[in-house]
Parts: sequence; structure tokens; C-alpha cells
Amino acid sequence: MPLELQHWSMHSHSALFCEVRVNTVTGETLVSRFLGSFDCGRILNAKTAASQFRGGIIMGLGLALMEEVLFDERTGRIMNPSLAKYHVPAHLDVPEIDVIWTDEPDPHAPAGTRGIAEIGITGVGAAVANAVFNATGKRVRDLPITLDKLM
Amino acid sequence: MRWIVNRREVEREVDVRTSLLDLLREHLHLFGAKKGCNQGACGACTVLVDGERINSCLALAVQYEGREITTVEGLGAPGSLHPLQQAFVEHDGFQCGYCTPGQICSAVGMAAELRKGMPSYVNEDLDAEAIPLSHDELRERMSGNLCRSDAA
Repeated sequence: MPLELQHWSMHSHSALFCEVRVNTVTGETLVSRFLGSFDCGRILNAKTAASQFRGGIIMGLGLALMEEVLFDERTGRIMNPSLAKYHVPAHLDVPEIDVIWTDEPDPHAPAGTRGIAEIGITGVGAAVANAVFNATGKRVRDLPITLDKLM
Repeated sequence: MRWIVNRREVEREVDVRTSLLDLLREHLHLFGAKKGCNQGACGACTVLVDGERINSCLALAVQYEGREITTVEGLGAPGSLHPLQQAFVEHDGFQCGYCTPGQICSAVGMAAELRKGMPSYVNEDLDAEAIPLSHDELRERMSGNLCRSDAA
């Protein structure tokens, strides 16, 4: 383990902003706008960093709205073991996503950098759930927020 | 049986049950088109037949005898990429790359569909002369190609 990790807690932070539209008839949730803002130390490659942030947010949208492994409790088998039944976000599920970052070098890391990838995902579920609460008044605490939970 | 694959005529004797995808991968050793789900859900196997995009995993090779099939290998070559391949590189349109051949073939097929004025789910005016190239239009038309890296 690098020595600095024994002395310093290294964490990245994000603040996420989400706008959703919920269909009053069907309960379907559509994410219409998203902004992610991140503090991940120094950013070495703006293009790939933006893609990592954006990709993480899209995975977060899947976590928030559709991805769920369903078990058959009689047999213990997974009931949706295919891409047709376990839904991941497709292109039309994804809105325009803005990402911004601080680009402040971490003084305790050798190159001022920290990792990116998963920081994009964490927090998206909460942002979407809060936006859904704002839109519908319903507090959904178990992800994914599928339409049956909003009807 | 004969096919024209990437502008070259090929001849193979294959089982009639062979899918077009298996013909391309197992018999012609063109590994660009991927076998993602093998049931038409993911789009990783998308190829062009006479310029139209299809899921090659759901097509039998015999159905396409004599037809012109284009895989990602036939679109461009290193040093002379297809404009869409170049765009994917320039805009960082992929991460692991598994879905990329399907995404690119699908996008080429989509461009042809747009030129022909084929309507889609998000078209508001089906009688319109030309289809506006909006983000939603592109998103809807590319939704048959999944990307687990969420990069494409």
C-alpha cells in the first residue's frame, strides 16, 4: 500500500442534478436533463474523463430506473437472465448529460490525481429518486424506480 | 452457396441451419460482428445487407445467398477509416469496443434510412419531406444497439 494511503483518506466527491418527467397515466419516468459535477483531483485527459463521468451517470440511470435481478424464490433461479429481460439503458433512455469538474490537483497523490470511473455512478440513484419525489410526491426507497412503484 | 461479403465473392458449403453471424465468424473468420446475446436483443451482430442493417444472429445464411453483405471490416481499413469509424475514434464513442462494430454498422444503415425518409417512433409528422436530424431521432434509431460501458 502506498504510504500516503495510510495517512490520508482519499475520496472523490460529486454533486448531481437531475430533472425527470413522470407520466401521470403510466407512471413511466423519463430523465430529461442531467448535470454531474465532480471533484476527482487533477484530470489528465478531458475527453476520456468526460466519457467516464457520462458513462457512469448512464449506468446510474440504469440502476435508478430499470436494472434489477429477479429471483424465482421457489427455485432460486434468476428469472431475467438475458438482455431482453434485464434492461440496461438504451440510447433513447439517455438525455443530454452535462459534466463539469474542478480539476484541483490532490496535494497528497503523486500526480495530483484520483480515480474516476465509479464516482459517476454513486449518487445518481439518489438524484433520480429525489427528482421523482419532487415530481410526484412519492418517496421510493427501493431501486429501481419502476412504474409500478409510482402508480 | 455463394455470398458477396465485403465486395468479394465467397463460396462455402454450410449447414442450412447456420446463422449469417456464424457464417461470418466461424466460416469466413470475420470477427468484427460480435455474438452478444444471439437472440436479437443487443445489436452487437449488426451487419449491412444491400445497405440495410440487420441482426445477423437472427438471419439464416441461406436466406441471404447471393446478397451483398458488409461487415465492419468492409467499411474501412486502418489508415482509411469510414467517416463514421473516424468519428467514433475522435469523439471517444466507445470503451471496451465490443458493441462498436455493431454500433458503426447500425449507424451507417441508419444514415441510409434517414436519407430515404423512413419514419421512426419519434417522428411527429409522418408526411414530412425530410426528417430533422435531432438528437432524439438519432437516439431512437440507435436504441437497438446496447452498450454496457455506456460509452457509445
